[in-house]
Amino acid sequence: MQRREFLTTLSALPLLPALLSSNTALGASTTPPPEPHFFLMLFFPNGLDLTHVWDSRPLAFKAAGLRAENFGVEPVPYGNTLVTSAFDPLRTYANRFSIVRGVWMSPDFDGHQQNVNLMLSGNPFGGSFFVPHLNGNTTPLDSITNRGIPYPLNNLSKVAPLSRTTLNTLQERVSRSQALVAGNPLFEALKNRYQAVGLGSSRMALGSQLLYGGLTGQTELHSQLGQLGPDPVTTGGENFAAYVGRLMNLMKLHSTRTAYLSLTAGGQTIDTHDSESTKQTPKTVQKCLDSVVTAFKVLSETPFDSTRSFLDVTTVLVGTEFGRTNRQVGRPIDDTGTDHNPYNNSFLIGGKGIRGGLTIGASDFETVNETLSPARLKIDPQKLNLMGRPFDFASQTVRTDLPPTVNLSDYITSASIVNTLCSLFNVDPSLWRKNGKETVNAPVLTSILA
Amino acid sequence: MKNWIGFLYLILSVGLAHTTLAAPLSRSALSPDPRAAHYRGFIPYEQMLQDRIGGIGTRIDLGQYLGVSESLTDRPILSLLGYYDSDVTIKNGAPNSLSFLLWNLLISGFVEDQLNFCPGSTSRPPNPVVTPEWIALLESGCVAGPLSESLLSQIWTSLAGFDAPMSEYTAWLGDVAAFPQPGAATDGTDRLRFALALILLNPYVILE
Repeated sequence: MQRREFLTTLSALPLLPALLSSNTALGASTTPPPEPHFFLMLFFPNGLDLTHVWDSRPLAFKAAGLRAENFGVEPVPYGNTLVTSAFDPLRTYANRFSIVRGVWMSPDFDGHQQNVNLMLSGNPFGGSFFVPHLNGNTTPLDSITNRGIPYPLNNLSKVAPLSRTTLNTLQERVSRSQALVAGNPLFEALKNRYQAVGLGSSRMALGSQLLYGGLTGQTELHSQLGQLGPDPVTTGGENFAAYVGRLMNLMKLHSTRTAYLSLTAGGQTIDTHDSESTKQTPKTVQKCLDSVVTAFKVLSETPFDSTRSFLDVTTVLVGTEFGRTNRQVGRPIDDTGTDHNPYNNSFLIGGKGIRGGLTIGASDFETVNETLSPARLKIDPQKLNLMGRPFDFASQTVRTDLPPTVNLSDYITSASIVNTLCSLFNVDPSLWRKNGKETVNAPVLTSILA
Repeated sequence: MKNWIGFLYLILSVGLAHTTLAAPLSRSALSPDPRAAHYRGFIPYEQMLQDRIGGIGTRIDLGQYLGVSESLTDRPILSLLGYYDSDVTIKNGAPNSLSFLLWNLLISGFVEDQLNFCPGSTSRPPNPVVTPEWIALLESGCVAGPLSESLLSQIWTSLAGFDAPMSEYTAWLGDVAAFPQPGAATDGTDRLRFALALILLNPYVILE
């Protein structure tokens, strides 16, 4: 070996990690395609009152002046809970999902921002978004969202905010543009510049190494968006069914494995602090569930391959920031709003890897005269809230004791919801959630895993 | 000689070990090295072009090349090109495959619009948003055949300013001189398209 050749080789070494770890990684072509497993999260910010769907209460609560209830129809049993008629459209898919009740969010904060941050990152003040963790490191995008994520999350640079309109526009632009691929003069010239500037460990060198990875990686994404093709549904606007179908096709093309959709109630107010919007809650939850039902319909009716639907290869999580109080202090029960309740949230989890038809966990205050625990009465002496009951993670059953103090490890929390997903997606345990200042990861809800 | 090979083997082993450790994180949701230079950001980049070649009383709108207009908050896709939050920290500033795709779409669209000033173009805009001086350079740069270094120097400086070291300019000159590749059918417009994009995607131009 000539001295010059050796030095040339040596000078390229700092680039090796970037070169080999780029999207054209040497090992990529020899690795068999992983078993398909996608994730779709439907999230309703602002605290949707899901007790008007499941986790409902008898009308006796309203008669006793304890709870605003606007359906006016006695809820019916479903598993270990009561459901309203708003639940009916979901029954078609009931064997494909389970409901987790009695989930504690942030006991220290009842603000919107803090509880969304907690849900998405495990910290009321923000941090690392868990959805990209589920995605793993195998696709050009970490995730897709339907809009910008206005929370202090530090790993959004590969989370693409693609509404249906934006996705279609981007797809159209990509299809019209010339692919920047190996052999293209511009590609080759840029590659040379990024390699040359990328030598060493200066700020610019490190940045240039990232540019190199971006240059080589974008080829794959460009190709995938090209393969996606134009939106087959030509009606404009945010057609949710068409949008979900587009997202799933992007996942099938390996652009990403996950999507996080932040949804609204179509003009209805979710954050029902005033009595008028509280009275509209039946309509509000119905609007929200329309999106959920649509998603299940698209996933279950769209073939992934000859034997599986998209629902067979997709885990679905439906949730909101927190629950809502039963009423407000000092307001007549027929004219009250509802406030934030971080002590009782609930989630619907379904699709791949999830046992269907279960309802696990529970909230307290299920009858008007129930004896409530000292721990919860200390927090809520006026009984404004429903609160999650203690849960025995070993037996995966609701505990019946009435603990004198609150210990988060006694309850299902959002950390357990996320860790259950992490276990499904084989996420590195170092990225799993802990409850508060505990040193161990929050327990998984093993009973809902298929 | 044996010592050289031994040393090379050692270096390669360390390099590959590092690669093995780094590879799983390559597409990871974890943040890249915070020491790395990041994008200028969409708005500063747009402003850079405005300052260097933008016409008086006009505005260069790069968002249109991604099919978006309106305010930054209404077009979150542009936030992927890097932006400064209220705490003056760059967000989404680390280059990756997604942001590179978007930057390339945006820059290639902008470059195509510049080529409308080439003689013979039927899409010449009636109200250009760039300076007459820049248009004159484009008109001269479109022609087939060799281009003077004086012209190329002016094109480089107009876009890159003095942000890049001389070595980058020299490398660019060489790349432009070597274009087209032997045997490829091309004309002056293709070469100018190549030359402009190569400047606008240069690390010292696109990164902070």
